[in-house]
Amino acid sequence: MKRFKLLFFLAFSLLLTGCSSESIADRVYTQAIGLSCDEELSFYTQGFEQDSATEPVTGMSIAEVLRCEESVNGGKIFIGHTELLCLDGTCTLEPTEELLFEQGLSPACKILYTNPEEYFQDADSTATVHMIRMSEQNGLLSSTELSTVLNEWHGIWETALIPTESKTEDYPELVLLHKNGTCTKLSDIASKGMYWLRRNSGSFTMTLETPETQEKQDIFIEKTKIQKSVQHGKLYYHVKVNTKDSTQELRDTLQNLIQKQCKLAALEMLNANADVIGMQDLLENAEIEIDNNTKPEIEISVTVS
Amino acid sequence: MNKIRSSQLYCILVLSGAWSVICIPSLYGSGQILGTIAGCLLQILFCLPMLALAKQQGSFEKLIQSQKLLGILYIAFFLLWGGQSFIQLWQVAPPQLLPSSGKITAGVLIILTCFYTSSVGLKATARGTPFIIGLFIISIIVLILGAWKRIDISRISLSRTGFWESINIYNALSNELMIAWVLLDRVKDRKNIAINSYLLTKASFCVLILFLSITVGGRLTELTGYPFFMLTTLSQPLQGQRADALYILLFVMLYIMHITIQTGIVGHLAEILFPAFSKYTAPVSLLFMLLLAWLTDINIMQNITSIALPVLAFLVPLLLRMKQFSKSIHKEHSHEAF
Amino acid sequence: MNDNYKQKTISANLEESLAEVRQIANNSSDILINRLVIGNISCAVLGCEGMLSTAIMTDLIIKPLTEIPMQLDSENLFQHIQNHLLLSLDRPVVRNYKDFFKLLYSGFAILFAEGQNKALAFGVQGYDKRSIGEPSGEKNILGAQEGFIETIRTNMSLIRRRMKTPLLKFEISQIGNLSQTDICLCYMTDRVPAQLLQQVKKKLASVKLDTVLSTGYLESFLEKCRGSLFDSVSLTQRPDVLCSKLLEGRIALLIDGTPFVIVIPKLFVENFQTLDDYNDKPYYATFSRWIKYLGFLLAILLPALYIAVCMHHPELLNSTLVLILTQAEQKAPLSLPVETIFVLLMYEIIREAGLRLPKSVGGAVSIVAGLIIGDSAVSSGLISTPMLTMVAISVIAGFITPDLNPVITVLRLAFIITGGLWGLFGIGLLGMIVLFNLCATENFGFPVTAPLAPFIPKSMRDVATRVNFQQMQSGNFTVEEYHEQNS
Repeated sequence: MKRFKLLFFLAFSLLLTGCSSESIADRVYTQAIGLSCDEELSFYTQGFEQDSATEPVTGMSIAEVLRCEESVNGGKIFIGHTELLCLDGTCTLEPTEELLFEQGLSPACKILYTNPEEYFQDADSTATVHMIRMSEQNGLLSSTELSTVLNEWHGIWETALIPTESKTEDYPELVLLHKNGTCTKLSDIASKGMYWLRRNSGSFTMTLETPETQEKQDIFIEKTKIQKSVQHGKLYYHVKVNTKDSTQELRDTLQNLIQKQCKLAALEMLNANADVIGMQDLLENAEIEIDNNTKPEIEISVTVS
Repeated sequence: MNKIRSSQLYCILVLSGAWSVICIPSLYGSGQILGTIAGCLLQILFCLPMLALAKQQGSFEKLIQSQKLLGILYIAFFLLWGGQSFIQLWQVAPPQLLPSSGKITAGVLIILTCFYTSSVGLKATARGTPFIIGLFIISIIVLILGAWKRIDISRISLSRTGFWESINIYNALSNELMIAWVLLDRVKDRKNIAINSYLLTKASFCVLILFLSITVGGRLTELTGYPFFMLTTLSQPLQGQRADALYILLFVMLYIMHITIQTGIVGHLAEILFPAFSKYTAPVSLLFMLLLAWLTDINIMQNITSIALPVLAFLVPLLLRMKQFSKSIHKEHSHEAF
Repeated sequence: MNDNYKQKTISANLEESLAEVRQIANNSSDILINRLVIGNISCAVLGCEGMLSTAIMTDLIIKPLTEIPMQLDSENLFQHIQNHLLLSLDRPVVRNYKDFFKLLYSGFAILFAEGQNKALAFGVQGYDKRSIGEPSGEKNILGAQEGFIETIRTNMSLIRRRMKTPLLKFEISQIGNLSQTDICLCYMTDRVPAQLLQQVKKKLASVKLDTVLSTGYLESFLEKCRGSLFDSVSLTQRPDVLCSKLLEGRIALLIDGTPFVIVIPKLFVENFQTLDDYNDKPYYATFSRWIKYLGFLLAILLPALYIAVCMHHPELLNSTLVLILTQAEQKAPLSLPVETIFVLLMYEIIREAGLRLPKSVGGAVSIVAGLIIGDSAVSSGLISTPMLTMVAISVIAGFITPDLNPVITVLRLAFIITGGLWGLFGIGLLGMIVLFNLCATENFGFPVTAPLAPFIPKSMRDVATRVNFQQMQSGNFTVEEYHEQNS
């Protein structure tokens, strides 16, 4: 009797082996998604190896739009491999957070500021993601991942630094996007300054034009480090750059350039009532009370060795 | 029950403690790290009476054999703790870590697995702990690798925000000290090393989780509950892929080990107190735990265990030790008088 | 015929004794009775057809017996034979029919004499036996090419040749009410744990089987844990492997009629240790040891992990891999777990067929299985290539540890089912069940998980690595170190 029960159980288990489960081929894997909120949430998706997005769906919540997408695409939407999230600044934080914490969006997903409707008409998301990644590797852009962006939006100044679709030379333009949708585009020089002020980073090669000789020369940046401190309510950012095999002339040129870029970046950022360089953490650690109207003083110094 | 080695006791305590750390409900601030370290130091002091008593083999057994009511209280503590753990499973487990069939199915499967794992006895459980420790270490390495690039040291401060709350939380989640007190009798040697190593390991793990949560999660940690699960979401070692499904294995194994250890302890105590009924303690104690989980509110259970822990694991050994000490002094005096 | 004959003693009357023999044996045709007169006394030499060596019988028994001068009586005759003639090395005296038949069917020649209520037996065994060759299962590259055979005494000699020490002891006894199979306990007297020896002997004494034809008959008596997936006694066909285990204080049980020897106790890590590990350089031996550990895990878990990740956790794969797998699985009509179970069942059927078929047809099975079924199944889209690859890797990895083949087969299927149903969650749950099952398996107080659990750092020199012999020679290790004493 025991053996019969065991055999029955085993046979029953075999019947259960995936009759109702989804197969890998039943899902639709999205490479890029877009969010836009007017009265309703509009959701755009583009699969891998697709030139354009599927028809957008609308709904009141992320769960609802995902369900609608299923019926449009004929399969469950899977956003675990999504590489790009396009935002136009009209949505609150909740849908983005829901995508990250409940729907399985990768925290390393890149954010792009653009109109999803226009972007997805003829989008090459692979090229866009590649451009963003290359810019990060070549020191033209600091990290703009979903987790970083959400962290910044939860700060007092509620702003995040996000790349846009349009490019200047080889790198994307940057905007300061407020949670309420206000957008401030950074100038070319300020965008470059933001790179130096944002985060410690690795090595890359830059091309500089020395003022005396007017020649373009390459300089290898080995390591960049930023030291932040607070003294008497004033913020001090010291950018230390290590170069390799460079002349004094080049180093001086670079130092002046970085100084100029960082100052402008800080100025434009303060004018936009934003914080994307970690001011809040510094001031809170120094137990200085702040609110979203505070405009702290920032002193920037640069050393190139 | 046979003797267990000090390394096995260490593994049992660490695995049970790891589950407690995973269940830390919220982050108050950088002060929580200091609070954890302070909590650990407090617990090292807390354990001194039980370690002093444990030098005499069999002291715990003799105590509960002579005071059966006390033994029943110890059993009741573990049953309450087990019930609390069942409710924690429901509260703590995020949807991504449970199968798509839902929490109820997951719960039933876990309970069925626990029925089997509890039936093999505490000795087999002790043998299984090194394997789980290995997986635990691998998971922590993956977690650190994923978090490494996202650490922002500027988010850490030396502020004392959350210091006192965190001491309370840390001590409230330290019911493993009761396991230590019960099992110390069964350890042959190096008991001090086992207990102190466990306390330091658990504190280190807790500090690591808090540190990573603050430096990686930043402000997101303050908004979401359960820092550990938030950390697993944000710490991804690879771009374009999510590795938090790997933590399912850790979650399942830690939880089942946690429940199995509690059931095993109840079985061990029942063997001492009621040898005739020891055969069925595993399924009966699991059913009791489920019943308590169903009928009682978790806050009530947590309050009871928070009060019972210092009494049963600190006061009782302290009083016993003081009694022994006074007896030995009395003997010396009477010898001298003679 | 019942067992009453065992109580009967041999009669002094020759004719009565011979009649009794015929009656007890039911006039069996294989009993040879040769009457002759030795020293003017009527005698009979009995033997079993095919069990005696005819040449030895003629030259060393019959001829010397017939040359015995006239004797006063049968008592004098027997004394003369025992004291003055060395007809064979093994010359037990038979007093009852139980011993008579045992010796007769063991290949002894037995001499009855008129007037004697006992008989003399001469060890002149000459039955056909297999020659010593390489064992079929435990092949190696650099070790000896000798394996045990079905004859217990030959096996004993193979062990004794390698361990020329009086500390090695053999204890022969019989087991099986009808078969009276010879078994031999073999151990090193200075190393074997006394308690283990006592317990094993007690277990063997409790066996009440009629016949013992192979090791499987006795294994269940020697294994304590019911419901355990893993063996707690091991089998070996190699005398060199057995000797190394005897040196560690283990007990070997040789059974007449089978070339496999039971070794008690067994540790789980031994499944990953081969003789070649001790012939290779330490660095390579360590590498191959870890390949075996990995192979075991792949054999059990690879298909299940593949199914779990594809069905429940595709986010663990990178996007390129996901797209490849999606394309491959799109055409497959069945779900992944069913596909995998189908392929595994086909493999098991082909493997069984390959074992039972004659060699001449074996090649055809390979062609049909590999080319026709495998290739056409993939081409038709019935099964997908990635899944087939996973199953093939898993199956090949399982061959690394042939001792664990039954466990691997069953667990592989179980993990596939749980992985398909509940993903990594199900795999985690089943993993815990298997782990606890393994940890609960012990035999005579020796846990099979030793020295991993309880963790013994010193033993890692032959588990995690394989250190050189200079380092291994110190320590005088015996399995008693792994014994968990009862309190």
